[in-house]
Amino acid sequence: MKTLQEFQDYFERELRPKLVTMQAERDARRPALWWWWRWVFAAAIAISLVVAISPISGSRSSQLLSWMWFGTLIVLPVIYWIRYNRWAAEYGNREKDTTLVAAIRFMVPEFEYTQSRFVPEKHVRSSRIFESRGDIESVGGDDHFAGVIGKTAVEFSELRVAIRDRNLRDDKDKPVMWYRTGMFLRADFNKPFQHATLVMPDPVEQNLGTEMAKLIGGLQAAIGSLDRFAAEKPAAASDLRPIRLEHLEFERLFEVSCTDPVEAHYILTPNIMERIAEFQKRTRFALSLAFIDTAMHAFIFRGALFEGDVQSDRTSFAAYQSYYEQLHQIFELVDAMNLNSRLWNKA
Amino acid sequence: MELLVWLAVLIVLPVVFLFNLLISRRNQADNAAASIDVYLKQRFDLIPNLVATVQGYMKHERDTLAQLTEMRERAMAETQSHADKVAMDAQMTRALGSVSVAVEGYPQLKASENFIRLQGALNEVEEKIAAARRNFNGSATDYNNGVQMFPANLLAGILGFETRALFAISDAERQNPGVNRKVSG
Repeated sequence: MKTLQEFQDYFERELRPKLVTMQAERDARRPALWWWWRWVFAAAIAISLVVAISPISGSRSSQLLSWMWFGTLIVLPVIYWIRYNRWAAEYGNREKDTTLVAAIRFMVPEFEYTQSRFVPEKHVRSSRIFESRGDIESVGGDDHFAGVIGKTAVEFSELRVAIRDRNLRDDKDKPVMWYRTGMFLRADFNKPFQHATLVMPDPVEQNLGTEMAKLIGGLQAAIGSLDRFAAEKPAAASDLRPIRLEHLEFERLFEVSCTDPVEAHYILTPNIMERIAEFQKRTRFALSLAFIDTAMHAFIFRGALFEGDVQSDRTSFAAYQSYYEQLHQIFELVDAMNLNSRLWNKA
Repeated sequence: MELLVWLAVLIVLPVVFLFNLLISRRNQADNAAASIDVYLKQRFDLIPNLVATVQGYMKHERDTLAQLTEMRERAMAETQSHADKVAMDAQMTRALGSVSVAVEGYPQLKASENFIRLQGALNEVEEKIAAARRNFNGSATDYNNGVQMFPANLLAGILGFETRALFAISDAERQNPGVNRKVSG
């Protein structure tokens, strides 16, 4: 992977001139759209005024005008919203084709990049990362990378997963759907596993924040055995069992479940737990890990990845630096897991 | 009469709860101990090969090799208590460690293909034993807490629940097992 400085030089030299032109066109087009939006408001106000001062107020004509007024207020913004989104998507795609793909190819020239592919669905399903939420309904994504980091074969992509909750149902008695978008990584662990080990973000930590998690952790410790007793309950309809590990910080950040506690301890040594905890604290996004078959699977729940943007200033390097950081995160994760040291050798 | 029934319920229910808690933790610790036994057995199975491979080279470590063989024979012949296993594991780990260090003085042995393969197998087993030890220590600590903490300790004392000895975790395992694995792997 190129260094940040190399990427910045490339950005200034190759990408910024294109982005300046595109952004000028974008900003020129946006006022036109805003102008159109103003007409929508003007029309709505005009009609409401006509209704208010109409001498035939209370008649059938007045009712008709009232309906027109409501129709205008509802339909025209919808039309505007559709037009704006179509324009925004077109601009986003154009930016991606013109500059983002070039940036990606420059940052990681050693990787094979395919814009329309994603990590195969069978790997996503076999990782079991989304299992605790429910059953996977559909898997999509794009921006697929395949290559080698050091000695470790990896592939990753943006992933969009729709999950059907097994228990929760909505008002119409349909299963509640969960949507997860982020970066999915599959890295060769160079060691065939007999069992499954999952490291999932601690829900208390993720939902309520660090301080609340610490408070609840403290209360649990004070109560003593009760939390342990609860943790011993097997996960519903799963062969995975929760286990506790001796690294306090890691335990605070993650929940570990596995089908074999010895193998889980074998993978999650104190050193590896330390590295994963440090990585999780550095990145602000929820990290899930799964060690299954011969691979480490990771999902970083961080939303869409390499997308153009119509809102922000795209001509400053800061906008593109975030893309560099997204890719760099993958390298950091491989490093955190010490995969390149080949500590685990295939038998 | 009703009061007596309530009192009985209030006393019996916590006792049943604590008893089941102690039993479940003890079973968990037993289960974890059994998984260590599997890997200890694998280690013992490698000892004769190791001794046969290195004794031709190592002239000054005959005592250590004899000690290894003797420990293996004792372990295979006797049914050991948990405390004995913990003690023997520590002894065996020390003896194997001293063999590993001594190997450095025998370049020919170090380069021997047979020894390299054997060392790889031994390292793999050692890593699994280390993982199984940590797993056992976690389960045993939960169990020991149950046995020693109030009010479960009252019941544990009456019913003869005893604390379990923990396996010693070496500094290398605790702090930086990666380095240990890297060197050995």
